Amino acid sequence: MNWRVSRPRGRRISSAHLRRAGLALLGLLLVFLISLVPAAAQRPNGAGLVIRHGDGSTVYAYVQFEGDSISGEELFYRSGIDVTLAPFGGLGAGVCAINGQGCPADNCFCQSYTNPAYFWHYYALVDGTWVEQIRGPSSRFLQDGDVDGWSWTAGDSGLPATTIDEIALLNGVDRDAPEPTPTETPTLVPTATSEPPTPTSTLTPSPTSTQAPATATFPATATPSQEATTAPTKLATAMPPSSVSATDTLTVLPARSTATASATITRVAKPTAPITPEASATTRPTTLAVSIDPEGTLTVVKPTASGGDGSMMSLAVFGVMALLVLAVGAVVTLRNRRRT
Amino acid sequence: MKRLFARDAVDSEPVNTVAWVFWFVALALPPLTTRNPLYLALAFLIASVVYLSLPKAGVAARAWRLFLGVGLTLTVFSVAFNVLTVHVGDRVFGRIPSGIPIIGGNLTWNAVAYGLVSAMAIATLLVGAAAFNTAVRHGDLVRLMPGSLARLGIAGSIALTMVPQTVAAGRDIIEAQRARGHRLRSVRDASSLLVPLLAVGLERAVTLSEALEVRGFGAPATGVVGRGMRRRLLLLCAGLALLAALLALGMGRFAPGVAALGLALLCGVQAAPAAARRTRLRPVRWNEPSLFVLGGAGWALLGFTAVTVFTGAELAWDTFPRIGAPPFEPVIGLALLGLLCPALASGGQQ
Repeated sequence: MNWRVSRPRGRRISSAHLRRAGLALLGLLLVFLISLVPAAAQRPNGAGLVIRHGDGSTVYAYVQFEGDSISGEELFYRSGIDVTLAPFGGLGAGVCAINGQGCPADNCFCQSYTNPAYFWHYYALVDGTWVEQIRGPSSRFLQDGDVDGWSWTAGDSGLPATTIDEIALLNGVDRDAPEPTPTETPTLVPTATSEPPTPTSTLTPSPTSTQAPATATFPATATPSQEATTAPTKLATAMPPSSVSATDTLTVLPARSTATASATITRVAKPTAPITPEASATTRPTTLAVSIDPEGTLTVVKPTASGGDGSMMSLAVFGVMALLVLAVGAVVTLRNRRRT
Repeated sequence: MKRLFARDAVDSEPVNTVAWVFWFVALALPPLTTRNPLYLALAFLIASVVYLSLPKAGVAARAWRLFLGVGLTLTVFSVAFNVLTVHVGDRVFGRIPSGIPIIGGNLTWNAVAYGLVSAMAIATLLVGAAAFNTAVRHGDLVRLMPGSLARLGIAGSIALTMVPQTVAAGRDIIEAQRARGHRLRSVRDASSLLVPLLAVGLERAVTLSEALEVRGFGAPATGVVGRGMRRRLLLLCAGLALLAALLALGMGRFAPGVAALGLALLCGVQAAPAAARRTRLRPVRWNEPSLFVLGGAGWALLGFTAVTVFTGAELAWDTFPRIGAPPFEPVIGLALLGLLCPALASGGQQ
């Protein structure tokens, strides 16, 4: 029994009209906000990440983002580097391990209770100098051109002097290029394995081709090195990230103690299948990172996928189990209906 | 076994409350320990089937609409909250200008997926609790509590019955108001519903407190341990363990923190005064359906835990920073199927 109290209708604007108009305005506002996404293709903002491991190897990552800023924590996520974080309440997240080096999340500073005390120190590159941070990565927001540094150390940072442009070039992004990074997806089929180093000081851009020999030389420009041991960190390559896969290993032959340093990168590992990058750099954040060990070997760090390893077989087993549960449910429901 | 599924037998022999407690603990394990959507989906389906298999009467029979509404609300809220506040992820479908605080940034499918998974976990717990509430009398639950925790059990029982009683009272009031010609049209009309609901709730609370007072609730129990040295030491131990647990958890040491918390709880329970002697009219009976449900719950509990601990099966799955196919361990799925036992022996209703 529904009792309805009818209300007189007039020409006045009723509250229902106002409510509808308000909802429409709200919808328009939402559409407007969402449509404010920059349509024009501009060079996306980028931040750098430098990680120095205990053995001296250094990882360089360059992350492109579309907003005004990005947190240090998000920088890690987007770089694809394997990182273990632990929450510390209002202090934010603490970095326990990077690429497997460090401590588990339930004992984040496990090696800091001894002397020397090792843990991941957090730095920011300010005017070419690494400045240690007293806050965590979730509390620091990087803008275009900022660089974060992490070092597994008990004292000095040991982080190399570098610039955002060098890090970007090392990851195949030219920040000074007038045009956006090409969105094509080149396929590279390397065939040979190694070649003697060919020092050169000229820059020969060739990575835009869809097919390039594996023995191709990637000349590099280098900044004069102050220390021979940090020479690899001064290298910049003209190789786009899309032209290498996550399994490639590249050897960097560093120039040492020369005023006009140069380097040659030679592919030493041969993938068995054509390499197709996942996506272009302009549509997705750069997820590649390169690592340089003390011997000068440069490795492309494979991005970590948090999705797990669900296979078709296991999914099929899940499907069977779900169907079994549904069948039991149907039988039980029918039985209950018969009873009633 | 035939007797187990015989209609008359199961109808006359309800499942033991202890078996239902084990079932609910086993069911709550996946939503509390993992965000893997496959395990959650399986647990949700099982909880739904068990809930539907239980004959419901009165308010409980109509409560599925309430659960559906709550579930949908939670889903919408969880997804919207995640999408607007979490801007991490590789699958961007929109963007809000960064100038807007908190919600400014990328809108990602990763956040949508995480919101859906979280909502499914909550929904699984809700449906499981609904089935548990339908099958178990709260009085039996209170009887299961140890003597020193009997008062806590009574308070918990009262809290558990609050929602169903409020729903029932709300329905009665709505029907009464309809008979008087009122109709709920907008928020302003809600006063005609909320004011009587509040009055009924207060009246019920007064009645309940008087009933508890008459039965001696809150009076000092007989056989109370005096202020002896043992009790003082236990209380001191509980306090120190609690402090250590807070320190350990604050420093990010999860395992020692939980262990210290457990020790604090143990010491606290030991130090609690014993309750008055209680009598039991009907002893707990272990019939075949009860053993069947207990076996299924034990299989699920042990299987889920053992496979996770000993084989290192991956429970963790996250949508950030990338979405991938979730792993699925068939043995864990097989263990979870043990939770279907109450539906098979659906004479568990009381």
